[in-house]
Amino acid sequence: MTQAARSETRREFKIDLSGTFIRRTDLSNADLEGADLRGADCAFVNFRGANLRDAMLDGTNLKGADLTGVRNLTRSQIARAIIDDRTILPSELTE
Amino acid sequence: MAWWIEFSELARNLGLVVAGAVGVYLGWKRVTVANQQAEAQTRQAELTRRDHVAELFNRAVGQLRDEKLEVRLAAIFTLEQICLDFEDLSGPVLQLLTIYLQESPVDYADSEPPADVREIVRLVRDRRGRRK
Repeated sequence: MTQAARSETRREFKIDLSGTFIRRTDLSNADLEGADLRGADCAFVNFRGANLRDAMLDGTNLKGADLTGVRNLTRSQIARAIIDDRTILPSELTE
Repeated sequence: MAWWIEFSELARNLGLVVAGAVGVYLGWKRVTVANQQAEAQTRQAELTRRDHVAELFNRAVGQLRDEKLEVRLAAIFTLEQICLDFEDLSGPVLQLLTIYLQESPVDYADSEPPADVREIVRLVRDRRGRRK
């Protein structure tokens, strides 16, 4: 496999964490572009600085999660997730 | 007599040129063969290494279901090493580990995550992250 093909394989791969129980883990600065987090329990997960572009957050438990500095997170993504008053949202949310 | 001397010098010089050309040709052939042998050896070594990795991969997959945490952790670290050594396998390895998280959910409530869950999430973070 050529280097270009290997890079392509890596780029196309999407993380699927749907339905997982990963409370209190550390996903800071992770590249979660296009990741499937539907139904995952991500309570108190550290997402600081992570890239959540096009990540699927339907029914994702983000109670107490730290989303400080998260990049490419939209209001509609947040609207589909489960948050509470302990969830730390980024100062800026894209539309 | 003079023409004979000239002729013999010419013949000698011509012979030297031909001998030199033959030497260069033989040297080039030898280098080419050596290069081909080296390439074949490299390919063989790569195939042997991949066989070894396939064996490691299969063993690690089996160990992920082990009841002992340290065995599961060893499997995760082995898979991490495979990711580092073979970038084209990092996708399948991460897929395997995330499926493991999905299929073997551990409800640890509000306690700290078990070491295997923490290590898998770290792998997800480190392999896919740090690219700003």
